[in-house]
This record gives sequence, C-alpha cells and structure tokens, in this order.
Amino acid sequence: MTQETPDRTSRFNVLVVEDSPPMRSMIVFALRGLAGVTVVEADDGVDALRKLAKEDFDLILTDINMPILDGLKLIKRLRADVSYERVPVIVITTEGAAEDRQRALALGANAYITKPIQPPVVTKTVRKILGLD
Amino acid sequence: MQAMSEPEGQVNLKNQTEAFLHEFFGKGEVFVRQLIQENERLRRELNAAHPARPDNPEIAPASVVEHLVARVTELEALVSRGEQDGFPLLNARIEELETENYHLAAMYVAGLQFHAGATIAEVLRTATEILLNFVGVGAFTIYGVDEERRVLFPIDREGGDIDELDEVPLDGDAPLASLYQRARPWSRGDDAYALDGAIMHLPMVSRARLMAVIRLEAFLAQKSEFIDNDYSLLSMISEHAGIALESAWHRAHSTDVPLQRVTVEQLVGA
Repeated sequence: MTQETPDRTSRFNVLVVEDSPPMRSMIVFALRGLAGVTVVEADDGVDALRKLAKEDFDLILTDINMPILDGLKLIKRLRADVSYERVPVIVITTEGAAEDRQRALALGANAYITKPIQPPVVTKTVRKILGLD
Repeated sequence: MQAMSEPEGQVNLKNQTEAFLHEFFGKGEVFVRQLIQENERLRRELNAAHPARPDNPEIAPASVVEHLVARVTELEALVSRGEQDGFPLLNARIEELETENYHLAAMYVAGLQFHAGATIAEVLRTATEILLNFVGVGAFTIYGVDEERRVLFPIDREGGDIDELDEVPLDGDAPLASLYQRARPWSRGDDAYALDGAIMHLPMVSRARLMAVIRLEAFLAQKSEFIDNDYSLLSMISEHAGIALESAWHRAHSTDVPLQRVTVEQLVGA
C-alpha cells in the first residue's frame, strides 16, 4: 500500500517496515504532515527487501521484533549490500534497553526511537535525516 | 535530495499567522493615528466653539493615547521577536495539536481493528498490539473466562512464561474474580483492582458479560506510568474488545445462511 501526501511532487520515498497493522497505520499517520514524502509499507523484513528491489528509497523506518526477518537482520542485510548500504535507517521499537539501542546503532541504524512513539519525535528525526531542516 | 525548510502544513499556518498579525497591528496603528487626529480635530472645534472656556478638555486623555501607542509598539516588538526565535509558542502549539491528532487517530485505528476482528485470536492480537505499541505496557497476561467450570484461565502472555500461571476461580476472593462479579467495562476513575502487585486488571466486557481480563504487570523499560491519553485507550480495550470477543464467540458457533429479504425485513421490523 502506498500513501502519498497531498503534495504531488514527492521528493522522498520512505519505507515503513512494521508487522503490526495498527502500529504501521500510526507511523504512516505521523509522517503524513511531511510534504513531498511518499510512504510505502512493508509487513516484515522480507517484504521490505522485496520492495527495496523494486524501487529506490531515501529512508527506511523499521521495527525490530518481526516474524520471518526481524529489523536487526534487515539492517545487517542492508549494510552488507552496496545498493542499500547508504540508505538511512530509523529503528522504531518497544525495546528500550540501552544495550538494544547500542546493538542497533552498531549494526548501522542511524536513529533509534522507542514506542509508544511521540509524533513530533518521529517527524523531527525524519526531517533531520532527510535534511529537511 | 532536495532541501525543504518546513512541512507544508506548518509553513502555511505560520504564513497565515504572520500575515494576520501584521494586518492586525497595521490596523491597530492606523486606528491609533486616526484616534489622535480625531482627538486633535475635536479639541480644535471645542476651542473654537468655547473660546472663553478656562480649560481645554481632551476627548481622549493623552495618557490613554500614549498607553495605546506604547502597547502597539510593545506588541510589534513581540511579533518581531517571535519571527527571530521561530515562533516557539506557535511551534509548541503545533506539536501539541499533532500529538492530540495522533491520539485521536490511535483511538480510531484501535476501534477499527477491534470491530474488524472476526476471530478471538484477532481480537486478542489487537489488544496485545495496542497495549504494547500504543500504551507501552511490556508485560501482561490475558485470562479467558470458562463459564461452565467457573474459572479464569491464562490464554496469552507477553513478557513471561504462560505455563507458570494457574487458573483463577471465579467465585474466590482474587481481584480477577471481583471483575467477574462486577462485570462492567473499566473507565478512568474506576478501581484498578491491582491488589496483588499488578499495575491494574482490565476487564473486557460485553454488556454485563465478562469475556476476558488483562492483568497488566509491567511497563516497557522506557515507560514508568500512564499518561492522560492512555486511559481512553484502556477504556476502549475494556469495552470494545469485550464486544468484539463476544461477536467472535458467536461467529465461531454460528452457521452461515444466505441472506433473505423476508428474514431481514422481519429482523428490522419492516
């Protein structure tokens, strides 16, 4: 499913990887105010890789705990592939322990946000990484 | 990547606010000048009409005019400062509204998911996802109700081993049992029934029938207490999940039959 903001001149393609449909909806909702951003949704890491193979993305937001291919394995795969090694990744997860954060950042995540999310935190982080500020 | 300064919505709101403030203070300044001119004109007329009058009363006292001019100057400075600082109050209000919108959307999504749940497993999964992702409860147990054996039994657990848990008699003194006897949805201000170390016990009720209970045991590591918006989500789980569970229970025991005009009309009383 792809949701485009009212601004038809999309300049940024963002992939949201989250297995929980209500949570995925809320992340998409939080991003809706960012003009020029198109959001594509993926159910898990494997679905994300499938979508990455079809189109280019400027940013990936991913959960950690997902079936089939979790968020940490997804980051590992991305960083090992020259095609995606530079695509920024923001982790959005329930795992709030310091060692979880460190593990994700060590694997190559660019930012780490814990749930329950605060929309301003998500949009500020996305804006910073996309260079919208 | 092409740089952008602000999200379109924020830019529009800020532009509209700036335009309004400039127009407002512009009009204020014109009004004060007109007031001063009118004051001078009336004073001249009074002086001409009553040249022998000992004093020359002012229609608007000079102190009032001075105060208005000072106020306009002060407000203009405030706008100017706001422009330099990036309108912190406006931005804070935008964030507040964004958070409130998000909460309303979360309520909508949660309600939609509950009513879309066709099976007990789907309804319980939605309750689990809302507690974990939206509320921030990291450990909890969902107990189902066995009305024939009169026990609550652990059906799903997050953050612990379900095999460690026993059944709870419905007729005993445990907090969980009192929810069966009370049998109405929880809402903010109600007792949390957290007597045995739990954060709270959340009943899932359909009309006066207890369908299940969630024992909330621990928050996620990054959360220490409920915030205002959590209470309406907990209340929604208590009421909507209970109805959804009962519908799913009925659906699981029903036989599908073709829709018939005669029967539908009878059902709606047409």
